[in-house]
Amino acid sequence: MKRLLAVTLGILTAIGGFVDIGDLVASSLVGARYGFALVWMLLLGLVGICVYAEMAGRVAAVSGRPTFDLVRERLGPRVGLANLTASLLVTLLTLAAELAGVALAVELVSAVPYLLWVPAAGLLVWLVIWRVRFETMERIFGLLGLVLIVFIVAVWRLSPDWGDVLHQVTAPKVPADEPVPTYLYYAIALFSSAMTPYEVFFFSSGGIEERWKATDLATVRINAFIGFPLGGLLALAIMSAAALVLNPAGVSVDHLSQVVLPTSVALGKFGLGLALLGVFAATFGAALETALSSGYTVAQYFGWTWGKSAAPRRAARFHVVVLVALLAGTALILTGLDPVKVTEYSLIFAAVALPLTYLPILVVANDREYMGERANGRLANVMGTVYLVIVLLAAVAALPLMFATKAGQ
Amino acid sequence: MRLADLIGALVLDPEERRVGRVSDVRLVDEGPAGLRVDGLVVSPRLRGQLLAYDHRPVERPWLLAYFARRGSARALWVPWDDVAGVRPDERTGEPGTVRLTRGAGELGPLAEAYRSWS
Amino acid sequence: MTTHGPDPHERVQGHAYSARFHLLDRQVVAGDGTPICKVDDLELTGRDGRLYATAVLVGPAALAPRLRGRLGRLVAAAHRRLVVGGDGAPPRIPLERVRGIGAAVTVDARDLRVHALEDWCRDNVVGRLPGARHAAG
Repeated sequence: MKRLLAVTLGILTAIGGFVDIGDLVASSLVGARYGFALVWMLLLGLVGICVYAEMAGRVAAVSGRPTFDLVRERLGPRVGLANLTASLLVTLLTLAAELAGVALAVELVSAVPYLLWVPAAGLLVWLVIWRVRFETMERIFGLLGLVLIVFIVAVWRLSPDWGDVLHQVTAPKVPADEPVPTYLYYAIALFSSAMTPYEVFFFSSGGIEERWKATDLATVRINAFIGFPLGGLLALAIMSAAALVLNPAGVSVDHLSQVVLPTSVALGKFGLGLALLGVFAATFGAALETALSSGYTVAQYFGWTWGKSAAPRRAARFHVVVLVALLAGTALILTGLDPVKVTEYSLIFAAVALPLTYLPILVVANDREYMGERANGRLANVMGTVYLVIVLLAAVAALPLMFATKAGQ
Repeated sequence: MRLADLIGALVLDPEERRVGRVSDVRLVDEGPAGLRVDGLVVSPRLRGQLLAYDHRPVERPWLLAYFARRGSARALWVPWDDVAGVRPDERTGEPGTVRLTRGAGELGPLAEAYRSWS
Repeated sequence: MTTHGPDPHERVQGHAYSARFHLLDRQVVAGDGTPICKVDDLELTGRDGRLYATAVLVGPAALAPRLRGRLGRLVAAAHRRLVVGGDGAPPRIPLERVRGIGAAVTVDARDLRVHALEDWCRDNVVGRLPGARHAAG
């Protein structure tokens, strides 16, 4: 049982990649606008992150080295610094948005404007990082985030024509009145956020905080192949619910209240309540993930002692970075910026960070001096290389598409 | 002197002709005596280093290994005895200059050196 | 926190290393796996007509030249301004203290002082917050 519960690290990491506030809104928006026509992209991104999470987790377990440590080591200090800057920008923008997301979830329940909740959210996130045990934090928010399964129940309750759904998923078509570049923009945005770098930074560092060793490869695999897909499943559920409820009604999504609408339609107040609880847990979990990732990446670039498991006195610089990240995120949102727009712009930096993150992982996972007999087998190499190429293509296409479509208008 | 002065340094032959740039430095552990600089790996390419790879032979994954091999195909091995002198640059962040005692044509390719090492 | 992995490779006489791969930018850890710093640069000293790597150099003063060009000069200048006194020489770990070179470089960390920033952070920020000594786990 304990081994199965260990899957919560994967779930929590995947929550940050699939159902953080940006993705909650994006999945719902895509479902409302395109129906099931972008499910394939979600699945493509999911397989990619599972492949690389397994690799990064295996490297962390066997060699004890977290991913960002390897980024500087393999790419050198200059290119490593470029990755650090880009990744940090993505992570900080996302952190800011997550704090807003937590506040928005509470606003929907309390009718108190969300900006007032933002500093409280920031403080609470910091307190959890400061005092709560890593494993406990992972269990609570991983499992609570799974409450978003209520969207799956809602989908089932809506009794769709499954044959029609299957057809739409496997033969995606851009609706006649929708421009193709915008469709492609959303495809790349979905893929980028499924494979966001802070997921592998958090996952590998979290594995080391959990003291993974070479004998824990089964745990790595359970996390990569069960935990992550569970996170992806949640995004799929939100997209499907939007496709079934919002799409036919022509509702366009630009606020959290529309994202949770399908559950209230299908399951009433109880469903809505569960959806909001799930949103709160998912955005809080994503805030924890991004705040810790800020600390992990900076500390691992410079080689500082890092980690939240030991007493904070022993990793003072790491904790200062986390604190500064939370303060910066809180300040950014308090300026009134739209949190979802903020995550859209992080796509710019993600285009740089993605290839520079996954290349070192693939290289080190093959290196027998690090991995001994646990170096990549043929399947891992084929999948890893294929996805590296896809990531490169996505990186090249992301910026032009973003400007051409004005970020998906 | 620091390693930063060596890595990336411009390598010139006795006639001041450009041979390439120092891509890597090989060190041998002599126990209590320390790590001795055994020699330099010089890359004649115009710019840059391989990203994520150095000059050790790599076989997998095959797509990346292909690029790595192409990148290091013409690398030269310079034993330390063939180095006449190293002149670091005074400005921080600029690589130094390495002068050799022999011309580029007399240096062996890295691939041969690998064979003799293993 | 401790890291772990295969046993750190003890230094073996006659073993050859690539400076770019095995040493530069490698994580330096203490015997129990705690991260200490990175190998930002290596100090080279001439002896008997040969060149030896004699110390690991650490910190922004060591890293700045490796960042190359204007960026390196900027970092070096910023560091000089922030550090009061001293001669600008980066902290060094003599190579005799390096016990093993594997996935990380293991050093004998007793009495090692390389962390001015860590001390400052601990004393002025983290140390003042309640619960700083408590290991959350």
